[in-house]
Amino acid sequence: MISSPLLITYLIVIGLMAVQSVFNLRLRLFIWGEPEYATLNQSPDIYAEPSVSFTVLLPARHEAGVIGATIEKVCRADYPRDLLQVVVICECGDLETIGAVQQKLAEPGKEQVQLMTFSDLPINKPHGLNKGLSVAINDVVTVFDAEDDMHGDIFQIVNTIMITEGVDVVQSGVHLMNYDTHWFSALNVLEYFFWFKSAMHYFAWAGVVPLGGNTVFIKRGLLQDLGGWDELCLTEDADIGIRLSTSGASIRTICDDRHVTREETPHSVAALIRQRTRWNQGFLQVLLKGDWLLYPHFRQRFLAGYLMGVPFLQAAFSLMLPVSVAMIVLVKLPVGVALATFLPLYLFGMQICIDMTGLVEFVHAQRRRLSPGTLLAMLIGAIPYQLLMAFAAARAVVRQMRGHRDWEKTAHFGAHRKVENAA
Amino acid sequence: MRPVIVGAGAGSASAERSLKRVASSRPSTLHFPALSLRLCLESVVALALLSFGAVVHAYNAFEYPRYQLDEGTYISNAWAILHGQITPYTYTYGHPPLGWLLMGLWIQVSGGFFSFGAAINSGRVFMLVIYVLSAALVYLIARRLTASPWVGLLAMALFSFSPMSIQFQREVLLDNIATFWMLLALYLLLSGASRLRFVVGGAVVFGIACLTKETMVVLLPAFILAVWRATSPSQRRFALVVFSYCSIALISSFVLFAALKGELFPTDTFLGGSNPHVSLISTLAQQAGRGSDAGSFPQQWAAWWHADEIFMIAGLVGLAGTVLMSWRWLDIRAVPLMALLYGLFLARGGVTLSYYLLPLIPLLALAVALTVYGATEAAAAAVAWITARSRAVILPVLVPVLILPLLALLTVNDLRSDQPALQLNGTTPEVSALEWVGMHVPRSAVVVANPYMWLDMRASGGLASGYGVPFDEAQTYWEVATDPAIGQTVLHNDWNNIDFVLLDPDMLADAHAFNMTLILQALQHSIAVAKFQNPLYYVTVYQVQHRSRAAA
Repeated sequence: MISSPLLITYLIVIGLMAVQSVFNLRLRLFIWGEPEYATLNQSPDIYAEPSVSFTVLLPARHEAGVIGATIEKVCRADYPRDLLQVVVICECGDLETIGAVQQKLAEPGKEQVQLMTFSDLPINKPHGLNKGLSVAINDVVTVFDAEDDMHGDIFQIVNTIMITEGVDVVQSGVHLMNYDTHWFSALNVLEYFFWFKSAMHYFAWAGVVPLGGNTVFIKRGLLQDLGGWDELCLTEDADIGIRLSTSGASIRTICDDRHVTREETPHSVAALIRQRTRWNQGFLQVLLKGDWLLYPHFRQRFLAGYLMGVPFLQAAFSLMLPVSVAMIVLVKLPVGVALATFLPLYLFGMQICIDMTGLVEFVHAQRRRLSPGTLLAMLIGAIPYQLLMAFAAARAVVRQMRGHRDWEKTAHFGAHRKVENAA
Repeated sequence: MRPVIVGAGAGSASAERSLKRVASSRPSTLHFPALSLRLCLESVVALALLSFGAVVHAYNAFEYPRYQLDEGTYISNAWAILHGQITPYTYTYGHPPLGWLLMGLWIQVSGGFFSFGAAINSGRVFMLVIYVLSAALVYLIARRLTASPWVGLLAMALFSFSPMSIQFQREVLLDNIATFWMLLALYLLLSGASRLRFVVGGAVVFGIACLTKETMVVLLPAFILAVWRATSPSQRRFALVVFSYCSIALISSFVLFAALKGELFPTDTFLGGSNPHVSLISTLAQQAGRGSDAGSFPQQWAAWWHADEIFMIAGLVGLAGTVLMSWRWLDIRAVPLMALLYGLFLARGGVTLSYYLLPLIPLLALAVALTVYGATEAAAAAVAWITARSRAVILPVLVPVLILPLLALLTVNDLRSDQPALQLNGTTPEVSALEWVGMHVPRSAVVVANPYMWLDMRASGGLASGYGVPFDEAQTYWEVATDPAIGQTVLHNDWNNIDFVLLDPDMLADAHAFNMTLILQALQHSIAVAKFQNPLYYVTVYQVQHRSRAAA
């Protein structure tokens, strides 16, 4: 038997875990909550006359292998040339990438593409973006990553939305495509899937929007008023989203399966952990910066604080799962308490079921075939994946405390393009 | 496929294109109609019929039908819940406990077990509340499916005024509570306009129905069909998974509960250990394998037929009608499927008690009302001279024409019946026996009685114990015969340790059928000291004549 204060604390933790899981499920299922919401993710069927001009920022570092194809993709986008400005930004020591870009620029039809290099510190994405912003001349600034496969109609779609809805910021969906290359890919793919397809709409509805790192379209004036991206923040995208939404910008998110930007999952567990550590550490930085305290409503401040803190909360909770299993097996709990202990496990089970449904939905939308093996791998991998995430969260805290603020970059091999070609 | 670029302003192509994808979603605005005269009138008529139903259910409810064994069991369980146990005796997982948990709550708010006389009366008042809520749901479900208040009235009348309804819906039974939850779950799904929170709500309520009476589980496929129909294609996968997971998770908590108490697997199995204990699995196996001594489906079928031939015939016709209409009319499919699933479950060959019909009553009532509606619609469409204007008066004329004879028939039947629900005083022997025991039997006596008498002896303030302190040694005959904790531990398997036996036809039949030696021996050694009876039932008080110590 254990003492009653300990028991009460335990029950409170169990209760918090349950509430957190329920909220997590709500985020995942938000877009399917009401039938009309489906239209929120549908791209306009009729495109408006192109009138908004775009500056495309393409920061690239050690991306010699993929940058050429990406430039080609942007240049082939279905949008008038005179309304597009493309700025590729490289660090001046990265000769390989610079070479690849120059080779591409020599080809015909690349007149609107500029190469920009910088030599000052820090060498990271937000710094590059700010450099690009300083030479941007068009109405709306947008970011793509060097490995992105954006849809050819994306500018038409954003142009139409900005004209018809009068919004300041548009975030279009990003999907990871290679769901069956690693044991963790499906789970990783689903995080993106639910984030862009559902959770983002909840955030937009609540007015608290941590934006994504690419396929995000922001009015240039707004961006310049805010002083551009935060060069010291590891998740400059979430940070700019919070600052944009606190300053009252209207943000629209959309995720049409046909028009999402395609990316790939990290190529190894180590890369996944590095990427996730960076995100978590970045969220921690945003949390510590405190811009989210400027939200007018307590609900919004609570949500923002929760979103930035949730990786750490989840880490603690995923460590609680084995603890609660051990409690059930080893400690003789009163039956009521033991039943309560199962509540988070039931909710975790529900999340796995929702994830599996999401995978079916994703694969179906992409017109591919789902093998039972992939579903099984996902089922078995769910708990190890949670533990990896917990590890990455802990690692982020340690790095932040030790003062490691450098950017651990994710390498790209174009697995999503291979998948596409094979399909 | 890439959309064609056209200038802003070209309209019709866009309308067509967007229609294709959006039109598949179901009509989805949550409907709160403005308070119109029409709605007010409709509500007044519906409430009037509902009130009449409540009066018919309430009138004479403490006197008819006589108190039944199961009613006593459930009201005693509610008492146990309020005293920190699941059942007063060893809990054998016969039924999940949510039904009497709810009844315990009702007792808390209604001021104790004896606010209305005998303990079972409190339960019967609760059943009246459950009846009113269920009848309202039957009305709302029919109204939602057909958009016609007249169909709602017909369904509600059929649900309320069958002699079987009046008898069974008065009794303190888990089936009544579970039926209410079943109707609520169905209504949530039908009225939710494809909102996921209604699907979650429906799943939780359906889970509660199953945790009230386990047999509701057989309706799961019908509910899944209802979810399928209630959600738009874009949400369907998630809605189905959410519904199935939530309801199955809730149902599984009953199994989990048994496992946590170490009472899932039978004794002397690998996972069950060797300590003797009750087990959910052996109880389920025993229930599944139970012969039909206590009542079989054909037997009850005859009884139902005898009790209300009209309802049974109409119900079967209605069921056939809804099955046929389901071919085209997808919204109603869940109703006949639920009735068929439950009917087939009852007909499978196990024990069927007469009140097992309860969940079928609203389903058959709905089926009849829907068939009447479908038939009038079809007739109106087929006959050329029925104009739209006259079509609007068919149901308003037809429904009263159907309901009024129903009520007249009910009254006539009741007057004619050998067990008139509105007049017979069926509980007199039981009540008088309890009062006699309270005045004549010492409180320390070991009294063996039917469960319907137990709480009025065991709890202070009851019909028997109201005259003084409670009977701490009162036992129910079923537990004396089957629970080792009573038969062996308390009574040492010796009839000489029993002081009084309150014998009634139930106990006599069971004692012989299940060879309850201890009770039969006690009866052999006792003399009748008082007898209370009416033409249908009796309770005889037997006092055991103890052997002297020397003789023992």
